[in-house]
Amino acid sequence: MKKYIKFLSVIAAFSMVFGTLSGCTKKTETYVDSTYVIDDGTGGNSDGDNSGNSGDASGNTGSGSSGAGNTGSSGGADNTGSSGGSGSGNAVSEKKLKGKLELQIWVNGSDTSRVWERTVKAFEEANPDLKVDLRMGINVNTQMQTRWMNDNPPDLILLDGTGIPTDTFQEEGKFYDLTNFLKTAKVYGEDKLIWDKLDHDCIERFTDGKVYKAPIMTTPYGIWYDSEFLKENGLTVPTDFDSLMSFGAAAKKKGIPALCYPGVHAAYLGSALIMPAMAAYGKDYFYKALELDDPNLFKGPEFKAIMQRFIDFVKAGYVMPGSVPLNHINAQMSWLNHQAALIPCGLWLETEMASDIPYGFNMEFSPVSLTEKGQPQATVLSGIGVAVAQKGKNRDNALEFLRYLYRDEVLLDFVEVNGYLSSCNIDISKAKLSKAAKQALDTLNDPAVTKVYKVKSWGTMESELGNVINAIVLGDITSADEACARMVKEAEKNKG
Amino acid sequence: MKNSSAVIKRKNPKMTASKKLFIIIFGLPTFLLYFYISILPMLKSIRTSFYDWSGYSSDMTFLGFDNYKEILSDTIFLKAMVNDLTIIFWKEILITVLALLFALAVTRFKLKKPEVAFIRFLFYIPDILSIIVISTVWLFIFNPNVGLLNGVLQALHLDFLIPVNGWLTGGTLMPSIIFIAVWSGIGYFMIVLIAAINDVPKELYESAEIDGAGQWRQLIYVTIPNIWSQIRFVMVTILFSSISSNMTLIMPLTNGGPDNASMVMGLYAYTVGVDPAVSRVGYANAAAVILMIISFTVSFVFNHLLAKKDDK
Repeated sequence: MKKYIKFLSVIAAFSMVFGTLSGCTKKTETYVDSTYVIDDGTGGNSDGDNSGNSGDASGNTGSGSSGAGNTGSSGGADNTGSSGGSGSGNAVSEKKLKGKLELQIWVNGSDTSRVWERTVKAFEEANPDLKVDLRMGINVNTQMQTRWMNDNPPDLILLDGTGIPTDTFQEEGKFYDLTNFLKTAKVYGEDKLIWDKLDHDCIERFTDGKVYKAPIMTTPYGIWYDSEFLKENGLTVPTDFDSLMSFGAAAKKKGIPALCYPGVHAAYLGSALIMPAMAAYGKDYFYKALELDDPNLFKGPEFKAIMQRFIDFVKAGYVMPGSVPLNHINAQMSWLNHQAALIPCGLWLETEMASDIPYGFNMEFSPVSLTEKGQPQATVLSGIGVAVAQKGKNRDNALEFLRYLYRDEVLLDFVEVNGYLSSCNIDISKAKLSKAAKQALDTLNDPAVTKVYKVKSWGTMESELGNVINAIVLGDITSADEACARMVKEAEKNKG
Repeated sequence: MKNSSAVIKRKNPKMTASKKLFIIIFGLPTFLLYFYISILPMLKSIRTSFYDWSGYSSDMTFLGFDNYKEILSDTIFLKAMVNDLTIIFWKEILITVLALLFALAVTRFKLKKPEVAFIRFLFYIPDILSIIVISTVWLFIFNPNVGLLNGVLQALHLDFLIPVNGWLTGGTLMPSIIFIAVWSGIGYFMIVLIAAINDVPKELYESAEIDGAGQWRQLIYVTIPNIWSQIRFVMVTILFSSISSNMTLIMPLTNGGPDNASMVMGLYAYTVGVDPAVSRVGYANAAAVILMIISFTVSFVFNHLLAKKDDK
């Protein structure tokens, strides 16, 4: 009996070891998120199908004349060869793709996931021999991190949501250089260059001057309000700092705090109120601040004046008490419950809170910021784009899919469902846009409004600006000099 | 003596070999797992703490002790260190004292069985909840606008007690965090001390009573000396567990904010390591190594001091 027990113990012990060690090998990347995982297991890639593609596009500048620059000598020539021959404005036939394509798509709601499902389905229908693995979900960026670490990334990634160290990935060559591709490739099925379709202001260039992120959508930051609520309380939408102060005073008389914001993500307030006020001093000033070449810029008179305005706004008691510990959902709920009149946010607010918007709540958007009287109104935009993995197994298919994303109907679908604006010069006036999105569009089309794009990462400056904002609201920072000194210090750190 | 030893030697050689084999068979998997899961990552952490490394590639630049020099002059890390030690200090005192008091209440104050069960259940609830759930629940309770706490205070006309910017800011920030940490930590240690007190021989209390000792003297001269090793266990365990649990408590609660006011070392190491805007895994590992050194040192000194007292 004893021997029998010992034998069983030995078996159990060894099975524990083998079980654990086998669980730690790379083979177990079955993973992942949501219901959309299609685990094919074999790991075969399409390099063979689209042979000779890797690295071609990076050296294709010489082939621009043929219009076949996107993927160079092999697959690319096939694709654009057919498109180049067709007449402009007509539908263009495309080479059928084979193999696989793996996508990493961050979504925060069922509608936004459906638009990706639709797009992928249509792309698969156009390419029956192609199998797309759509890895999608709210935690997908975190779940896929180890894949990126091990240089076994998906082929294409949506650069949205948290958990993607975009700067690090660009710096370490994880993303494919799209500079020439975007300039020379044509939109899938259309006889039009992607480059001609893009709003060039949206294009982010990394420090090496290259483009790794293909812009798809964009959102301006601004102030949101319920027009009915303001009307009921005799409040008019402010346009600059002075009118914002008057608005705050009038709202205070009615017992309504003028503004609430998510202290946990205080950078929203920075992007909506403070950064546009920087842009009002000129695009050059804004982009210089974004570049961080001169940290002393943050103790200059312009930034100091902006900080002083914010301090005055806070000291006047116009910020909703208790904003600092709130996350974005709590703050947005407070605003929806009319606990404050205004809230700073990007265009995603409406879709994010869709299920919580009270009946009769008339959500509207305006590019109000801390600009001085006489200064132009300004708005800061940030883009949502996609990147192609440098070491993706099916890079050619990813580039083809990227071409597909620039089709008019796909861009429109994304705009309508996400509530964002497009990064491309397409006519979205007939799209089913919300009132706020239309207002945002009007803002962008208004030549009097200065538009600046966050076309470069600001490193830790954004979170430090958030810390400074919170410190001002809590009364820990009481002077503009103190606030500026904090920003200068952080800028020096980021520059170094 | 000689004979008996010879007898033992004759009886046990086979047994000893068998035992050794048995121990190896059972010990080896555990050791391998421990080595693979704990020791190896720890050694890797120490190694990478000397490098500039993003964690996403094999490109690593050797920096020597630069990460350590930087972290030791990093004001946020130093603030985090103070916060960690403050939380641990108050947890040690409050959990030990309160767990002992509640254990005494349950064992020595002759409560009825349902009352004992109720108190045990009440204080043990947090132990069956995930720390994330606890943080989220308290986040709602402390919510400045729709929170339960402010609602109760308003209903009691105690509005003046409500902090203007919310409980998780300013002067109420750290006390609030310590309160949650203590509340969530009492249950398990209370159960440990209840078991310890129940093991104290009844005769000792009877003798003390005959000698005229009241409840207070019985606590000082009978209960505490007899459960000292369990109290020591409680205190050392609080110390060990706090260093890691501070991070998991604070991350969903305040994420170290506002303006890093509630930052703790573990969370800071995590943040600089995985925050996409920072991605400095080498630097994060330097912070983690310092955290480990502090943890070992404090635990060793603490255990040593308590052991000395135990010997006395």
